[in-house]
Amino acid sequence: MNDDTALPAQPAEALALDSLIHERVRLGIVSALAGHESVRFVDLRDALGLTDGNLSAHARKLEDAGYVTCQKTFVGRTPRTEYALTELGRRELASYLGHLESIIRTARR
Amino acid sequence: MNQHDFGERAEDNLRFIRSTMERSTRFTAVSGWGGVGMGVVGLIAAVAATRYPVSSQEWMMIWLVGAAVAAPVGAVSIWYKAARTNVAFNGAAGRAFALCFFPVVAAGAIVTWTVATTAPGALPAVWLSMYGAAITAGSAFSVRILPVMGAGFLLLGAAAGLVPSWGNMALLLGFGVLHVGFGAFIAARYDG
Repeated sequence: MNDDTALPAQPAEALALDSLIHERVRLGIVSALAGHESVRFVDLRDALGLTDGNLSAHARKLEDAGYVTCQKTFVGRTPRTEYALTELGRRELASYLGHLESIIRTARR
Repeated sequence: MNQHDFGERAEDNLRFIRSTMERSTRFTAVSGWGGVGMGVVGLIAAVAATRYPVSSQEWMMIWLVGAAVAAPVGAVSIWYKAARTNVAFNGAAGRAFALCFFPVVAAGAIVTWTVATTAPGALPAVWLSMYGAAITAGSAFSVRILPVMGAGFLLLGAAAGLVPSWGNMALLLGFGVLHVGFGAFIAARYDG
């Protein structure tokens, strides 16, 4: 997965797309988290078909932007990492979806 | 790139978002340790069925008692894992998993009832293939390793069907070894 599959940022509406969410892997992460309170690292990795390193790197970018939170706990001796979408992340995803719909409406005119 | 192309790419992104949301809705509370427990019950049943029965009725009863013991072991372990990992036991993914898994198990019970009197030698093939089909069907809404486990049961079912004298060995390998092996893998990789 890479940026080649994403929409190019040329027209005015496309320029408004959040480049952080626009990237396919990160778009997958926020989409997968949107329907859940939180999702475990292993479940997110399997749902998206990513490697551990790839998921960690992209999730960290979303975390740095305040779109997701990462909670690390221990269940017995087993470490568990869970991700959740923040309110800001939900707003940005909703805004991104709004932009996509707007582009589709414009293209259909 | 023209406006039409932008529209197509936007629609493609919307489809991607929708499919990702669907993929993330999986029932992940399948318990590896529960699988190991069911496997141990299967191994005990296999040993008992090889050593003690003097009739095909007794042989069948040993396996049915084994199934009656293993089923609650699996159910309780799934319930416990669901509670521990905050997965809704009766959520959409859990219901989808159950709707795929249990009808095939019920079909296996119905076929057992009819085959038991007419062709008891076919029971290992029926049990293994029906259970394999149930697991494979349920795997559409659960962890990714389950189709492999289901295929293992189907292969053993086919082997037991082709060579009925392998029946007890196939049951041992399926309900004993496969359960323990895949259970341990799921426990290690999927948090219990």
